[in-house]
Amino acid sequence: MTRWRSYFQKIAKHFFALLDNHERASMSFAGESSSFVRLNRAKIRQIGQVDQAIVSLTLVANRRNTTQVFDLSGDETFDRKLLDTLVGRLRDQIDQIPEDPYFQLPIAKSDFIKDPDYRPFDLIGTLPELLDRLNGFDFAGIFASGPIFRATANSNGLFQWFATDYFCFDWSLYTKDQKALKQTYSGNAFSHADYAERIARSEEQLKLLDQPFHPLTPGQYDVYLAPKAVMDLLSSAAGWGAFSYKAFKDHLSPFNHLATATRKLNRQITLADDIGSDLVAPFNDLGFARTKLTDFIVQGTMKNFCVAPRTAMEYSVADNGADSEEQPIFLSLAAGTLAEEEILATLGDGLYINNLHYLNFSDRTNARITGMTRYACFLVENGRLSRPFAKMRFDDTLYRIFGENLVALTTKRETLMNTYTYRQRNLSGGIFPGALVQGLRLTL
Amino acid sequence: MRDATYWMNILEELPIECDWASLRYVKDEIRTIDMRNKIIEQLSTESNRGVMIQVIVDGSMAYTATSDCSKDGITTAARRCCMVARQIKDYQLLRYNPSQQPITSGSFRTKVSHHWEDMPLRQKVALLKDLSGELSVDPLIGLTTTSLWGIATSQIIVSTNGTRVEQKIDIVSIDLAATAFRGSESQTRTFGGLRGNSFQGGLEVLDRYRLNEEARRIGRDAVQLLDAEQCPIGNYDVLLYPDQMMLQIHESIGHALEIDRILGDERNYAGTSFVRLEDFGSLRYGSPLLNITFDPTVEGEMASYGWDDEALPARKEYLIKDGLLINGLGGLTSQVRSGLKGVANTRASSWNRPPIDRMANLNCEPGTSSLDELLSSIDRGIIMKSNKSWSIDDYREKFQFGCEWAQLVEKGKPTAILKNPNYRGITIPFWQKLKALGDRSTFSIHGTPFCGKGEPSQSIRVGHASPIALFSDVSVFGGAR
Repeated sequence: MTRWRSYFQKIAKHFFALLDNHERASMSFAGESSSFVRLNRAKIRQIGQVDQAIVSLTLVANRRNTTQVFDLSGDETFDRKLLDTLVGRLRDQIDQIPEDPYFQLPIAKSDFIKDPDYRPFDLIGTLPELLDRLNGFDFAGIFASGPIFRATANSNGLFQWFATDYFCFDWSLYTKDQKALKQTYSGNAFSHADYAERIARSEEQLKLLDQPFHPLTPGQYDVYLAPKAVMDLLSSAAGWGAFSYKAFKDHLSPFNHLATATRKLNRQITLADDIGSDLVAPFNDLGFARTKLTDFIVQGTMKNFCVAPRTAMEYSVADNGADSEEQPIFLSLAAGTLAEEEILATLGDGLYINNLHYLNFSDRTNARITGMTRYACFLVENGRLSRPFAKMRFDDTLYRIFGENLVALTTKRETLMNTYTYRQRNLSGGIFPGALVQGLRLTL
Repeated sequence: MRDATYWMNILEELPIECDWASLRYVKDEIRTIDMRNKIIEQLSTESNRGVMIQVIVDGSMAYTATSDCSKDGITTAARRCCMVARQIKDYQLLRYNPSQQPITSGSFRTKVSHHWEDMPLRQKVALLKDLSGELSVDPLIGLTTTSLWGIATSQIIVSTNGTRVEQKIDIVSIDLAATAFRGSESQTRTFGGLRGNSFQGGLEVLDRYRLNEEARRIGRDAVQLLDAEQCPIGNYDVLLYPDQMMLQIHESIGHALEIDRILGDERNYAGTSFVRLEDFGSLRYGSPLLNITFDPTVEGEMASYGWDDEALPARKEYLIKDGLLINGLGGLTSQVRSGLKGVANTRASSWNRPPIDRMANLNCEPGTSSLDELLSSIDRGIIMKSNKSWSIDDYREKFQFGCEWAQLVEKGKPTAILKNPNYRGITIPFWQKLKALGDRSTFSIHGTPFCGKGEPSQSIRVGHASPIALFSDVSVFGGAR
């Protein structure tokens, strides 16, 4: 794990030595050495490996700043020459732009280093065993694994490094007529037993899925939203700025009414960004320390936001080390009081929704959100899972779902990691209970 | 930049044993100037540069991608690639035939008359600041954003069976937005929805518009929307402008016709399709007015190119002709798997992702009705412009879209402005209710950099051109509740 760490330190030192006295600079590093195995029909559809090392370099001078992002090659002569060229290009840009009153760099020095010694998980070597478990299944998905690195350094003397050997398996299993059950398995230490147990557990749900769809008509339904469905709703809201202070000030947040206290959520809702675990890097892309725990909503009332240092400067508030997008890293929704064994009995007659898909806002200002049910979703009759139902569109407000219509949250919560791999593998996620909700509006 | 000969030499000198290999070198420069309330929020240049090697060993294909473009770096990557291909060949879904890989050569270059570098940075910044001022037409405008991106992509593909393709693509994307707010109400109006004004070309793209006038209009629209009525609930004729047709085509035609989706590759993530292989040639997708083309030859459209990333030469092809589905969006691998004709559409977002079936330019061919004719045919309808929300199910059937701006049409006359217009429907019945299509005078080209798909995931640039289109009996509704 230490090859990239010492290399990045060397490169950063080289660049900072090029600076004039009035200049400052920050460098961030996002690297990975990843194996990707894409599967269809339980066989390999595409297989490959990607080594990338992305550096983001910001030059700061005379209250101005500009950024260059580039791929480190790992060839020291080439990379040093590139940096020598870049410093001139960045200086030329700085001369042409106005002042930026909001940009800042961390002053505090920090030597956070997490660089564990792992025996890397040999995904390719293990594949035959993993795929042999899938004999007889119709299976599609992706296995991704390999070390991930995040780091920042600046000319004030800051250096921080975070490394993790991380795998994320994300897949679906299918009945003969293509009804699907979704599963994920992720973490730092792969266990064949845990993987096998997940596959084995799915057989019962697949049997239940293997019935004709029950058609539903539009209307209001009492539903149980499994932890993943709860995550789908809250993560979608977060992606559209629900917890962003900047979005709030710009009147673009789906939770604007919550933030101005003109609306409230149910008192059972206590939601935070909790990055106390070592699953994610504790610093943002400029090296500011992320606050370990930020309480967004406490008993239904909004208390805090994601605040990037730039936003903090603009509005004279305290930051919590958020990235520029001001999205939470690890959402934590507090558990409730509904025991797992009581979910179906309490629901009685209704719908069991495992996942939601393609969420977006019909009316963002009023937190009105739409999306589709997807994967294994079941009719519940007399407190028992009955049959799968055909996909339905819902369109309802988060104020109803997590407000007046929220009946209960479960005691048991599930840790769920994001499976995004746009540009680079993602390290974020959350922990969520399930939610019993009455009167969810299904529209199509 | 090193040319195809250089990379061919690298490839040919690789000490590897395989039945076929390709090297795809990509250099992407993305220049971003984003301004918020007249202050630069982001000024960055992103230079992505790397190589992807693909090999076939005894019918088994694998890829390795690296940002180390030195001879040693590529050699290491290629060796690993061959080793993996060999190691897992018994577990592959497909068997690849080297003789089916194309042998082609040539080059493609976006026509540019005013290069990004020709305008100094300070002038670009001044332009965006000036437009920010123009957006602020009223004290109720609380937020303005202006943005200018310049993208230059160079790609070289060489292969051991003789392919040599060089492409250089330049893109300019301009975006303007104004948000008006009063009390708890806010409304945003933009320049064409999802960065819809993104084109191949240089800065001459900006000369097509009277940008100051557009900025003032956008600001006025945002303020006007604050006081507008909610879009009513009910079934109406709906007249969609091209910057909403962009999403309608994209979600409920484009993705539905990707052959790799139909074959099940995307089931775990983006989904599959209601379209089956046997539907090609027989499924009546829409009204006889509907003609959809895959067209990478349109000058200036976002996803025009000469060859796809499997080096297939790119041509215009009809996918839907007079309402009948005749062809799908599938490149070489999908064509072999499905037996369909397909198109040259296999693309990767950059060097670090493998190519898969993508949309490129997907266009609705114009009809014959003028805007006046379209309007006068409407007894009770709603005009909708500029997408702001999109959602569809994993089979590409049940969709819902929201737009920024709408206007009621009563007995052929546009009347009240409406806010929060949304509509929902199901793909095939919706396209079969296409009642009239605008002529070339209503036709415009749009594009967006944000089409997401794949495992691992990748976001790619697509183009969508369309006339104004009239649909009958569409379920519409407004916001709140």
